[in-house]
Amino acid sequence: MKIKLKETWYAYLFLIPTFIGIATFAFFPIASSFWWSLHELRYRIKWTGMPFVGLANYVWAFTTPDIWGSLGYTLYFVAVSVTLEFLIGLGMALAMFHTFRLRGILRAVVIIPWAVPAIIQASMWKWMFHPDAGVISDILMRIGLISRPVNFLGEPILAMHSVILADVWKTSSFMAIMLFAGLASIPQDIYDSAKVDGARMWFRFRHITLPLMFPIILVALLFRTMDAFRVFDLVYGLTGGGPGTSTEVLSTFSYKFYFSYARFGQGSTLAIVIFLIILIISALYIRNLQKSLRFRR
Amino acid sequence: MPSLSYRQKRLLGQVAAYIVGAIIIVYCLSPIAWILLTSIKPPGQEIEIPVRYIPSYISFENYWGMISKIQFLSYLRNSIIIASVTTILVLALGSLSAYAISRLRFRFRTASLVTILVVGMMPGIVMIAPVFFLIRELGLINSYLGVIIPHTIFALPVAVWLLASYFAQLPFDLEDAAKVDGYNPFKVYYKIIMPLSAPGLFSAGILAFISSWGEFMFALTITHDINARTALVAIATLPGAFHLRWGWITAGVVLSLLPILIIVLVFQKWVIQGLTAGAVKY
Amino acid sequence: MATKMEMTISALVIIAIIVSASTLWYGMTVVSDLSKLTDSVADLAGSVADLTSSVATLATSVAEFKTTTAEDLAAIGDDLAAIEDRVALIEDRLKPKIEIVFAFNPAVEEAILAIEDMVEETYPDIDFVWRAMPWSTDAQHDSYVVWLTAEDPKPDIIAIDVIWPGEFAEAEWIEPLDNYMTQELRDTFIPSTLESFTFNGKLWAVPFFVGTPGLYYRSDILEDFGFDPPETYAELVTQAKTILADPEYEDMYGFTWQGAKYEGLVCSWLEFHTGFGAKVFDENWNVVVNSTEGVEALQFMVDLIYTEQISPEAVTTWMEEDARVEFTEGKAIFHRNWPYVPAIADDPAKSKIVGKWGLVPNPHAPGYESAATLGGWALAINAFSEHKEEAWKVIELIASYDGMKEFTIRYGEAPPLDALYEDADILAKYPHMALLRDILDGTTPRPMHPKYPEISDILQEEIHAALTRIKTPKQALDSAASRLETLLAG
Repeated sequence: MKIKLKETWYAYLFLIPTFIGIATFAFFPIASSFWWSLHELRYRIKWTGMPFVGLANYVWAFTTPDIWGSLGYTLYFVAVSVTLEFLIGLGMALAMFHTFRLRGILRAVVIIPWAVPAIIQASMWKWMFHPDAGVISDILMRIGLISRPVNFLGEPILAMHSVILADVWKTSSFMAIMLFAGLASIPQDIYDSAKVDGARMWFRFRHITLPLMFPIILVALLFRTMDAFRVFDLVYGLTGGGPGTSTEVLSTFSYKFYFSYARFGQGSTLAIVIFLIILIISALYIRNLQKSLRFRR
Repeated sequence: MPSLSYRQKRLLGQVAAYIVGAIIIVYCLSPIAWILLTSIKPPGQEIEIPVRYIPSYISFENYWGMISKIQFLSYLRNSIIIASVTTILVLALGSLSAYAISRLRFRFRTASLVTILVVGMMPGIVMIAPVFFLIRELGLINSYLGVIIPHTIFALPVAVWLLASYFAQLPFDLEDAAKVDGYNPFKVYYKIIMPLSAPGLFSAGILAFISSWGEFMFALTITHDINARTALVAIATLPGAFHLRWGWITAGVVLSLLPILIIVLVFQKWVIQGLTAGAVKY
Repeated sequence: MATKMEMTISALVIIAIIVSASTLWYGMTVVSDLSKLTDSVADLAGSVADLTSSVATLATSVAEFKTTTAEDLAAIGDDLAAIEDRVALIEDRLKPKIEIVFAFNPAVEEAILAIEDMVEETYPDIDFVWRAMPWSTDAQHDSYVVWLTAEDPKPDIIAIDVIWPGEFAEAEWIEPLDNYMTQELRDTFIPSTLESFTFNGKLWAVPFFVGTPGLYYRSDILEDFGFDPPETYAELVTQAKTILADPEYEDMYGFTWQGAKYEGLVCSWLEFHTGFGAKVFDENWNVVVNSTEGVEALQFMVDLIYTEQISPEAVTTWMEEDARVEFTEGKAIFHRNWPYVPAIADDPAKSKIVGKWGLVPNPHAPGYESAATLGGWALAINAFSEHKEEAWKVIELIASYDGMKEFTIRYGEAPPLDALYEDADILAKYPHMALLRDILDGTTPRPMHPKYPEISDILQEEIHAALTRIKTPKQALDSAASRLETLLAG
């Protein structure tokens, strides 16, 4: 009992600095957003004050016509993007871990896509996708895959997938970094005894590596899903939500209301809605995580 | 086909790994190649139709322009300081929290983990105005700390979760030895867990550093001039309304990537040590 | 007992960390204050050194007093006056200066630095500080939203885009300038430029950087075919098609403009729309965007891409630079854009068409007039500023003949001051300035309404949907009309 009490005290001690910071700089903004979402707050029509409207904004959020389309695009983006970046990231992490001589270079190289800031990426990819002055069109034409310049960001379906491509290039790097830590956390002797027992590479991978990596895989997927739902800079910079509204994800949608229209009430409502969606989805991940993460009992 | 010998299989595996490695290098670096090439082009050749890959002559005018006219190195200095302090804080606070959550017994474990996660669920845009207000009330406008604090808070969730998962994989009998002669969780954390965690700390540290390095909106609104503005804000506030100076922008991006590369290469050694030490130890 | 000790130590360590962090933070603020103080002390030292040398001069004069003549007496008098001046300067330097922060993108940095010199000369008690803003209009807007909702007194002077006055005025973020602006100063401006920044009968900002778009064309190609620059849209299409039919030019684009889904789309579209005789709102703010003429105009834009095929489909993703590159790389015959193009087009390092281009006002439909959407930036005073008087003094300086000239002579944009169009230096450097003046006279402002961002968004979505053939022009404009009506009602 003495030890347990001591552990509890220490646990609180270790957590307090983090929690003070979070309480001030994260919970306060979330709380004020929630507060604003219950009011009508339009900065451009100041004389209306800030009347309390209860859940009226939420009703608006769920009945405004474009929101469901936006939700659909976001879900598609998240599903495709996260899947692709996971697979590519896993491949990169394995390569980082198993190659001997290239290891150092690979580790440095793999980090670079994630290290290029999002707003730079938006401008960079925009020029690369340019039909006449962009390298992608040019290379594809030289290889012979296309005969005329393609309008990557101008056709509805193509635009969405171009955005996904740009996003995956960046985020597979994040996955690789995280999954690498996961691979490194597996004790070597498990592999050694498995090899002694005659287990082959694929078997080792399926039955040792993946299960033991499962917690970190879930964490990586969790964070990437959360991030993908909130994706903003890349989409806004590449297409601005267009063509039409075919790449209008939830974040660009709420940005319009919050910043462009200065309707803080409704903008905050949309932000809280995004927050709740992410919360629900995270709950699913966390439930799975709890089962697999063998925290000290 | 006859079954391959063990040695042949190993060789095949190695070759495959290297081919995959080469593909990865091409995959990661090709857009960067465009940035690099554009940055050494003479002014005026950055965007052309048809696409020009190799500049007609190599010019470092863009780098010179950034360094002398824009004083980019000062901004880089700011970025380095802000990102480094953020990383140290994130690793310190994050590893302490992760250790508590994963290896100490107390009632609110999952609750703590979820609470920390909640920080990362809000879209960034709505966080800016309230946080700006807070920072201003604290008098931290246009200072390093005014940017470091928000950056630290928003980088904590990933760090804590990553490190908690990592720590949870370490064998639990490590603490048992310490429990026999006067148990001090802090000592265990410091002397036993941390040295074994090089790969985890490396990953968490790099992610924290990059998240601070590449952050834009907070840095833009909280800082005002060269005393505290980061490299990224400097690139975004280059002169230009419609006509962007791609040469300067790409030169700035290349200069920004250099510190990150250096840090990664320097800490590699430490990580490799950590990996091999771990293999031997347990 | 060991454990209690350890716990106390841990607690002490944490307290020590908090204390040192606070000290560090405090120390940092002290350090920055100290450095400001050091600067002031350095200034003071300089002034004291000046004073010392003046005193020394006086001492020498006094020593020669024995053989003074009337001239010597006068010389002493001069020295005394010089000392008086120095003392006044020191007094000035010791007085805390009023800091005026000016925010805009460094695109006009050279001009601003010239202005800074003017300010410091004319008003020594004003400290002019420049705060660099990003090039993206949206990023600038976002920063202002954050700062102004927090009621930050700085920056004192904000450069606002021509589409923001309604919004910023309603939100009470900027000061009305009628009380500051003298009639004399008003008269020096071209009326339409001031109108664009007038809302609810008050003037909210003083324009200093005005955008007047027009039609650029390849003068060499048109000459080959014996064409005069087109005046009507029909002429434009015919000329383009004739040229494109020629095998030598068949790879080119006929007409490049900005059709991406962003604010610029409203600018280009408005020119077609007005050029066909249509309006968005009438004088009583009734929605008339979907008139027959309006549908005709939008149909024409769609036809340019798909039927006449003189504009590529990619135009629906093009902003200013995307389209401009096509023109200056020699791939387009006609090109609609703002006045920043000539500087690039005539730079041999950046353009393949040096000396081979011309500029005319936008074409129009027969019977109607050429339309150009007014762009540009103006100077507003932060409503929360603590130094509005001084801020106005700076704005006044910028709005003076000399101030405006700094901008015009460097960047070639049309100035809002009438007199500058007769200036010899400007005409020498920018011979097409008279043409810009003509265009300026005929500019169309975008609808000035506090809800403009939403109006713009609706227009952008619907027009872009028509351009990408998701809707027909009639469907798009009808939908826009009903959405606009709902918006203005609610």
